[in-house]
Amino acid sequence: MAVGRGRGRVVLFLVLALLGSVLLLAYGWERSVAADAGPNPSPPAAVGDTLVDAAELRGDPGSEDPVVRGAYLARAGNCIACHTEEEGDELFLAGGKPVETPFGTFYGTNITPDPENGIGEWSEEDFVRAMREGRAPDGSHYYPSFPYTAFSGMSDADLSDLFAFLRAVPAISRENVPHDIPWYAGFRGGVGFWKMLNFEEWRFEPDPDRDEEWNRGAYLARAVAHCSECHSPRTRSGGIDESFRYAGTAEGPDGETMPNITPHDTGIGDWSERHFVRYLEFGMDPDGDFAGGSMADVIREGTGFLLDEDRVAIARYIYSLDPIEHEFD
Amino acid sequence: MSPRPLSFILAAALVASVVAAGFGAAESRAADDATPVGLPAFAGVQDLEVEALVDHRQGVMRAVSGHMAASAAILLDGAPFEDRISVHGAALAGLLADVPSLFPEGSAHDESDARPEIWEDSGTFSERAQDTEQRAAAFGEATQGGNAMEMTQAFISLGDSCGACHDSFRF
Ligand code: HEC
Ligand code: HEC
Ligand code: HEC
Repeated sequence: MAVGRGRGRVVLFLVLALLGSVLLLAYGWERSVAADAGPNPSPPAAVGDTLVDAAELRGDPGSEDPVVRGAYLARAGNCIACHTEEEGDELFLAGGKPVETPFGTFYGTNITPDPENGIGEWSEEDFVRAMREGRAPDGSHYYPSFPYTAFSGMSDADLSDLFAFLRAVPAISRENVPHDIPWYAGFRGGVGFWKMLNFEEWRFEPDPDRDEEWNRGAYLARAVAHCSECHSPRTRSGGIDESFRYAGTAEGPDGETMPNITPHDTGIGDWSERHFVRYLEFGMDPDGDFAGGSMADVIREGTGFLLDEDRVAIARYIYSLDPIEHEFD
Repeated sequence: MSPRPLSFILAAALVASVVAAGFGAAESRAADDATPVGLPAFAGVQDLEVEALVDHRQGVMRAVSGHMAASAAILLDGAPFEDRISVHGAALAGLLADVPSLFPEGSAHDESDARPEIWEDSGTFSERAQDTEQRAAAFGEATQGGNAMEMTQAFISLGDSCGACHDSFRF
């Protein structure tokens, strides 16, 4: 790949970037003119026939109803933590939650079925393309702060259920908050370049040498719950450093330390699987201390709602990883 | 042995304690007058005080964690000490009765993981602390009554509140 072939390219890039950010601004302006109404206090979420309270939404992977199965996946994929600004029903999935990264602050978008501010006009194909390829309906690239790098591996059936769920939540007409990123990052073409280096569309394939439980855990951890998106150091170009996947980093998004979660002594080698499962359920570690930071969100809005057997499956997978020695403060 | 050295030691101890008391009195008088800290001789003492405060609150937090871990082993994993759960319940209720008092103004320190927001946004900090205090009291009460379901629910709800405070107020 031609990384930096001379000054001409840099100038071209800058010009394109400038153009891009101007377009982005114009686009943002158009959107804000279009959207007059503020947050629209919603009726209590009635998803399928089963759910009343969105904040307590649990879902069930074994349900007959795709909406209820999709709700479960939304928990497992932690969509709520990034796409809901405040706990509770009022603004459920209506965006505005800041997602800090080294490149600036991104805001989770409105993914309710509101036609103007949400994804109400989207077809299922649009949704699948966003999740699998990181592309918007107009073909532009999403920033990887939306972890499609992981979601790309989800099955067709699960993406379809997830979409059914998103169609069923109450539409909330709330405008998106523009990302707070430096002007040169406002050019989505740059994201295309990043994707060229660091992203490949993929699909989770079960390992026939492993049992069903392991494969379930691997699928959930890698394609849905995207654990290694946080728990891995990054290469200079911003991709995951494969030799240290799951081995943690002192320089996570927002300057957070992401612990090593491989079964090595410098990781969670001295935790039992029981401790690990309990941690994913309500955040208590073996010492009786409680998770904070973004992991608290992952647990509170995500893994805490899963079935115990799925938390056990994730533990099986994580404990089968190669122990990697990686210590940092 | 002659009694001499003993009386000497006693006398010395008496003198020493009088001096110490005098020093204490002088110090508390200085504090009463709200004299701004100016004497370099006291700087070391103050530093030590903050260190002691940090040691104390970290010790309390670790003790709290110990009771949480022990309670989980009993309630969730079936360690056969049901008859002792109320000891942990009472200890938690007691230790968490007034968390803000563990964080007086000016007790930030290099060795501490306390965030400045504790003092900048003391309203929210107290709210979190009160939330935990109430849940700890509820857990303490539940462990007196003995219904396993209630105890477990109260326990998990208490645990949630620890994370909620750490999330915003601990590095
Ligand atoms: C770590 C935070 C994070 C998580 C977790 C997350 N998202 Fe997002 N998502 C974002 C951000 C940030 C964007 C905006 C990306 C951009 O503007 O390029 C986004 C964009 C999207 C979009 C495009 C919306 C639009 O208006 O164009 C969809 C659809 C979406 N997310 C769905 C999901 C679903 C479904 C899940 C759960 C399975 C999920 N997201 C989990 C942060 C997240
Ligand atoms: C949004 C980023 C993020 C995601 C996604 C994430 N984690 Fe974490 N995780 C963290 C942070 C930050 C901590 C440190 C928490 C703390 O300091 O209390 C952590 C801590 C942990 C710990 C405790 C390790 C220790 O030594 O204390 C475990 C275990 C863990 N995560 C497992 C997982 C698993 C399994 C997943 C996927 C289901 C996951 N994490 C997804 C950010 C994340
Ligand atoms: C109102 C806020 C608050 C609540 C509630 C709270 N903590 Fe803490 N905790 C802190 C702060 C702040 C620190 C950092 C203290 C320091 O380093 O000076 C801390 C530190 C700790 C530590 C580390 C101590 C050390 O050795 O450095 C542990 C363990 C801990 N807390 C456990 C708990 C548990 C368990 C609970 C719930 C039962 C709890 N905390 C409730 C604020 C809180």
